[in-house]
Amino acid sequence: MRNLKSIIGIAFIGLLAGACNNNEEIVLEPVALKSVINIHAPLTTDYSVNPPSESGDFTKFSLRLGTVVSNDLWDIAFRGTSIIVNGGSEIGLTDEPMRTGNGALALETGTFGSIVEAPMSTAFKQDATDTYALTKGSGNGWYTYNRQTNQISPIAGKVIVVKTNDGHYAKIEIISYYKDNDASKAENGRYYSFNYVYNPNTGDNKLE
Amino acid sequence: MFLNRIAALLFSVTTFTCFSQNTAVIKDTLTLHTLDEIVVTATRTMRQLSTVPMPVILISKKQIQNTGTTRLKEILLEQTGINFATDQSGFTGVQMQGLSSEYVMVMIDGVPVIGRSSGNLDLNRITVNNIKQIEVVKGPTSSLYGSEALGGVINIITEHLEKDTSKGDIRYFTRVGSRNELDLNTNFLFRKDKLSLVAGINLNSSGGFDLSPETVVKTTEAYQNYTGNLKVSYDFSKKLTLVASQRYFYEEQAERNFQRDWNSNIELRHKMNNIWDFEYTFYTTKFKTESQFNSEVAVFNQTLTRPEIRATANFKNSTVISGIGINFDALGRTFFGKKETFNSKYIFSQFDFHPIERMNVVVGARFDSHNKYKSAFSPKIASTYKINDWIQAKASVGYGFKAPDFRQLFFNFNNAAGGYVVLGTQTLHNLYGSAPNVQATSKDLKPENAIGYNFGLEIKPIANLKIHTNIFRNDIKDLINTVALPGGVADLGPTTAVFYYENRDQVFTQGIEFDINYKFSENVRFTGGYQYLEAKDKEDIRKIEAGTIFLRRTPNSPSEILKKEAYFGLSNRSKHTANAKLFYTNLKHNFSANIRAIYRSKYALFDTNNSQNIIDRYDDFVAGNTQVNVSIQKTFFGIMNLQFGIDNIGNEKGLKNKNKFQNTDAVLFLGRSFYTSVRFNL
Repeated sequence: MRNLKSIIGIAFIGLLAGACNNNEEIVLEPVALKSVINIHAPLTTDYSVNPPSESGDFTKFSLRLGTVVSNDLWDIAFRGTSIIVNGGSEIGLTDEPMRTGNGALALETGTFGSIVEAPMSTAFKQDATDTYALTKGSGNGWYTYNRQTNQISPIAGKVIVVKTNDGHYAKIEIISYYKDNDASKAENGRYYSFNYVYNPNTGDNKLE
Repeated sequence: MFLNRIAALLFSVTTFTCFSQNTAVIKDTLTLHTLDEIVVTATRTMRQLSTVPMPVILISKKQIQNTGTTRLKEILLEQTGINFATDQSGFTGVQMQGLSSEYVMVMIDGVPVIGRSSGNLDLNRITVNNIKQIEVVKGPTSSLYGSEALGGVINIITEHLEKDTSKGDIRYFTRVGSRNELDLNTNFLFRKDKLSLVAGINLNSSGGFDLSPETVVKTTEAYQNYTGNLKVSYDFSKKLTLVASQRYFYEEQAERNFQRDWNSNIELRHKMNNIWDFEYTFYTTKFKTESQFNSEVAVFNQTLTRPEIRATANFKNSTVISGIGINFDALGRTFFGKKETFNSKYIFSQFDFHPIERMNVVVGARFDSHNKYKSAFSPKIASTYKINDWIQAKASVGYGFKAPDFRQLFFNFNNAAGGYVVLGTQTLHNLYGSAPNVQATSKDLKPENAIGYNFGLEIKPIANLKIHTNIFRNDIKDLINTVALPGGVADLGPTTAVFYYENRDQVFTQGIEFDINYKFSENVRFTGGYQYLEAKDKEDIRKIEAGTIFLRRTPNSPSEILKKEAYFGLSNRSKHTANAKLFYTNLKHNFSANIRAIYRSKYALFDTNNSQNIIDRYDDFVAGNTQVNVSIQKTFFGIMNLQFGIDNIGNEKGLKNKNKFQNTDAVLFLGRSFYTSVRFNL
């Protein structure tokens, strides 16, 4: 046991040194730009009550896998324009999934390319009772709503940096809220397309 | 040229005496009316157009008749620096020096027309029948007219008779093509001794038209309207005249929208002596609409009553005009809790003098005190300086303001389906004033206010050429915007967006305008006009400079920083607008013809690339467009006038805008239409 501890200790020092010296022995997995299209995030709204109530399952997404998942290993989840993160506690919504991880997110301003590393931990927020980590509402978070055209548009220059449920960093730029990027029909709404960069190295805050 | 100078001389001799005195002098005034162009709006005194120290456009009756226009909007559209814009509310209004309709006061004989929709005054409401002339003053004119005259005023001067007359006319106008229209006029003008009567009836109707037949909603539904006006004046003595003007308008559209407006202005003019003139006016106007939408009837019922007293003192080398009055303004409306009233007292004064022979200075100021918002003080100074025989410089600086309107204070609009409410500031504070996020907002709105600068030159290098240039800048602050209330209101739930009004934006408009008027011969005259305009938001510029605004060139491109040189400016503003008109008159054969072209460069409707409502060069634009109109007319036997015309001869429909702006009729234009009119002068 003592041996094991010292081995780990040595390995850790070696790893640190390796990281500092950019030693080739430690191979960091490449950070790649990926994109997903048409992630469907349906929502049921009941207008018979005032204020209208929202329900329906959130569409849970894993940044590590790059797909929609149904288990607890999700990072962010979508329902309509709401985005929640797998970290913190339940907001108090109908059909809301349990928070099982320690994820968080930060809404950064800049071009996608200019966000080269995750911000300081103080910028990250988690969901909490009655509070979204990513503020809801037109102009408050990631989108604006145009009352004339009834369209949702992602605000240019908004990048969501996510700390995943297992402590990886990723950045997301939402490109479209409409199926096949076609906002001309209202029924195309609630389909997310976004670009993202996921750093597969745990705790490494580099995002390029 | 020589003639002009004589007229000017004559004018300067008579101008300060023409109000009073005896019949001989009145005759002089009459000759002046026909000799040169007299305007009254810019200074509230009779002035020769070329001597007025502010930029003024004068549209004569002849021009109105020659261009075959029937409504006020059409004739204004052809003037330099005047545009029409349809804002996001879907209503269309006039735009002057880059300022939108809510900052332009429209008057009939010096008293305001009311009844605005989201700030826009529908100028198709006003017939050009029975108009003597239209005067447009650009730049802040609040020093005389108060609220709304921030960007300028448009004043319609109705017919006025000074000598014994008995005549009438009947006109029958039909239009076919891209839209049909029927316009019938009959006028009667009579004066005998002390009694004068000007009466007119106008009927205007159309089957409506649809620029996008593929959509459910028609662009303009079928309508018919009636305008009746009657002006009676009676001279009790040479010193005392009573003028009573009435106008009534009624419109019915698509059998479910009704609009009535009515105004009555009673004016008693008292020439006390050679120096003092007094005018006592009592103006009442009412505007009411009932519109049916989804089986609900929305009512808008506005009234304005204004007693005003003006005194004019005509001294040898100067004129002083002062006035005092009260506005009682009331609006009852669906979406308001109750009928709301405003009242404001005001006082103004203006001193018009010649410190030296070559120079004329007009200094004025007005103070408006209001019961529902903060008071406004609007000074203005304007002057002309004759550099030499053929160049005259004009400069003016003035404050302008626009009071918060009823909607901005008292609106209570709930769109449950859309998930939002819009509340006036007073409504917001009255209903939810205890919430901390509501308390953080201001309950009192300040008037929107501006400083406007105009500097111009009037050049007459040769006898038949007139050039006029003007550089302008308007700095407007405390613009009232709809703003989303952060956090919303607990009672309405977290998903309902709450909008309210706040003094926020600072914008500026600046530009230069040119007008040229060249007489090739007695028969042929050319006029041209051009305006370059920049209209920008100061806060947006700051944000862009700070590098915090991003855009997407196409909907799916990655975000990039919006650079300052890519910033375009405010929506609905074209950088370049121009007009060119050629008039031909053959006096011998009583024949005339004209061709007029109106150009407007590209403009944006709204932000289309997600750059926080800021318009940049990568946004979608409504393409630049040119409309060419022609008209010919001939008078037979001195009593019958026949006119034929084609509007939008090039059939410019703006179809290429259709892909960029779907379901937006505002980007499409009416195609070619043909009209004929016959008028009998009796």
